[in-house]
Amino acid sequence: MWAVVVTFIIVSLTWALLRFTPDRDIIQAGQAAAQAGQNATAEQERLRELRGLNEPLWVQYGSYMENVFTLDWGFSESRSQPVTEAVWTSLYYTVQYSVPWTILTLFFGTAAGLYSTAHQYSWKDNLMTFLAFFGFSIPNFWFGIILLLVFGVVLGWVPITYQTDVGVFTWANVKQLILPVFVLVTGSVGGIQRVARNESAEYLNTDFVKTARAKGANSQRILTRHILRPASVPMSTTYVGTLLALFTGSSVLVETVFSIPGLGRLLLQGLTSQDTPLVLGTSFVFIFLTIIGNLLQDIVYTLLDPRIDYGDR
Amino acid sequence: MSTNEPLLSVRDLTTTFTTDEGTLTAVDGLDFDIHEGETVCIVGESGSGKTVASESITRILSMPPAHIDGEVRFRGQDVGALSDGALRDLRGGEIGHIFQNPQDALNHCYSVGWQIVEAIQFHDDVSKAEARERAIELLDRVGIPEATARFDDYPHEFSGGMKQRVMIAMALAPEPDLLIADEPTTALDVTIQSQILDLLEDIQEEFGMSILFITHDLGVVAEVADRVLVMYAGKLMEEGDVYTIFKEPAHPYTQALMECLPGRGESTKGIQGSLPDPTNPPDGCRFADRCPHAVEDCKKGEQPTLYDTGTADHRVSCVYYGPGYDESRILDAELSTGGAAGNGGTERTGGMNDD
Repeated sequence: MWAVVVTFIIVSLTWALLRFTPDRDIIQAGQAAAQAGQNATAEQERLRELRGLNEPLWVQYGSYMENVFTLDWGFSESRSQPVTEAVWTSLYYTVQYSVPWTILTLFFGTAAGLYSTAHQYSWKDNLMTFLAFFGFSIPNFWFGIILLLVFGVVLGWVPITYQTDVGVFTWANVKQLILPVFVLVTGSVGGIQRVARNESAEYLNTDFVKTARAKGANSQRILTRHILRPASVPMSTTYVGTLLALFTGSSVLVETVFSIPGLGRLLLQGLTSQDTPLVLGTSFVFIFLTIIGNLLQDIVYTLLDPRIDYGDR
Repeated sequence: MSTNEPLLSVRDLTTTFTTDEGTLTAVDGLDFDIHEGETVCIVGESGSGKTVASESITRILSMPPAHIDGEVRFRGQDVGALSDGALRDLRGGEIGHIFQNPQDALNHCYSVGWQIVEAIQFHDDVSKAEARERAIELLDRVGIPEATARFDDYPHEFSGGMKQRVMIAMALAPEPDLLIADEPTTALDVTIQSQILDLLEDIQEEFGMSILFITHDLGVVAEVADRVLVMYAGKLMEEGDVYTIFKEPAHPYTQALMECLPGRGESTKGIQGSLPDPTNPPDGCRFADRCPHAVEDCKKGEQPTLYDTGTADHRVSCVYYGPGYDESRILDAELSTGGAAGNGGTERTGGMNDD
């Protein structure tokens, strides 16, 4: 319920920002008219009328909102196709690497964090921390280029260019996605490991963990049952935030390096060619993802912690 | 008291923690035995090391890493030499634990039934259905009304007293021989306290187990204990029969504790001063700095050994009971006794109650 309200507010804000930003096309049209010796103001007026900008604000707002929610996101000049179509095609490629990336990051990040907790302050913990910071600090795009050089150019194990015409579940596709997924996982697993380690370490000294130990539980069971479950509530909060932030940032870099025609590249293309509907449409996808991510997280809370109950809300 | 081999025998138990301030000695050379069917109380103020001592027995101490020295024998078996697996079998299997704060001792993410079933299945190879049945029986036994319906409820749906009952049910699940109860009633209000104490007493009778009871509440000690160990700053100060301890407290610290009881002593007064620094304990008797009878010898060397007072099974770590001293000096000065053997039979002074 609140997710819908939030979506509404964000989309409205986007509209307000866009509406009160000076329109480049109209200014240019005015300048062109003035250079040609015509009346600049009249020309600008004509263009405004053409775009419906002379309508009352609420009418403009209404049709904008209608278009957003009916998925009529306009036409992309630079791609010569409707924005929804462009977004849809790119999403197809983005999903292919981001799903395995998310799953691997969550799994390895959490596992490494719990491993660190179990061996807190020992060399094993320190090694994990070192690896986490290593992956965290190394620039994704640089790491990607180096890996591509070594495994693509020198060793020739993986293709250098991305093939869009291979099937999703084919060996060729796996081969070309290994490097981007690996680069993304190394970049994000560290953050998740830190969160998992710190959150679960907080539960290490709780009374109920002592109870579990007193019952005769082994350390593996204590970690996976008695610590992971309560710790996953605060963990999931940070996970969603971290992953979404990384997703937005990394997808542009990694898609550029590995020439994947995904959402990140679409956004970049829209920005560089000043294709406003395309930028807007791509941003909507990121906005919706964020909202859906947070909504999912709220639902997950109730599953993880029986004390949380949203009641009738 | 049984004269056979003790159920639990603890010798020179020393637990230290490495901290930023140095090595902290929480328990220092503790010796005691628990016999079958017996209830032993460890009494002492907060920070005296009684909880650490109880948790050192089955090594369930959590962070920071504790270093446990000394010998703990359970049924003659050296606990320190057990493998991890055997130690886990002992925990919860033969030695059950209940803790001070029932609010936090249950995992809030799982139903109470799940947690009891878990305890049962750690130690008995039974099916889920059988374990469930036994868990419900246990919940019923510890006085949870409508046990079947409450099996699937979560800890936050229970009151503090009910949670402590659940903890007891969980500790009883594998029918332990020894129950370590670490201040099980401290966090509960007084009416619930007595219910829980009654429950423990009933269960002890029914299951025939021994209880190691940790408390700072002398009222509780009087109610449950067979034998009492008085701890101060990680050291054993005095041990004896519960009647002896209450009637003829021998150590000045025990005497001071008794003075703190309402209705005893002239007025309810505290013990002046505070516990010594556990990272740098003073020479001699740990209590010397706060002791009204301290002499030069009290602040030299080691904590005095446990001297017999003359009463059966009554030992005290105080120089006055050693060679060259006359214990009646502190007894005369502070409280004097009701004429028990070996204590000179002086008259009571200072308005002590006569029981």
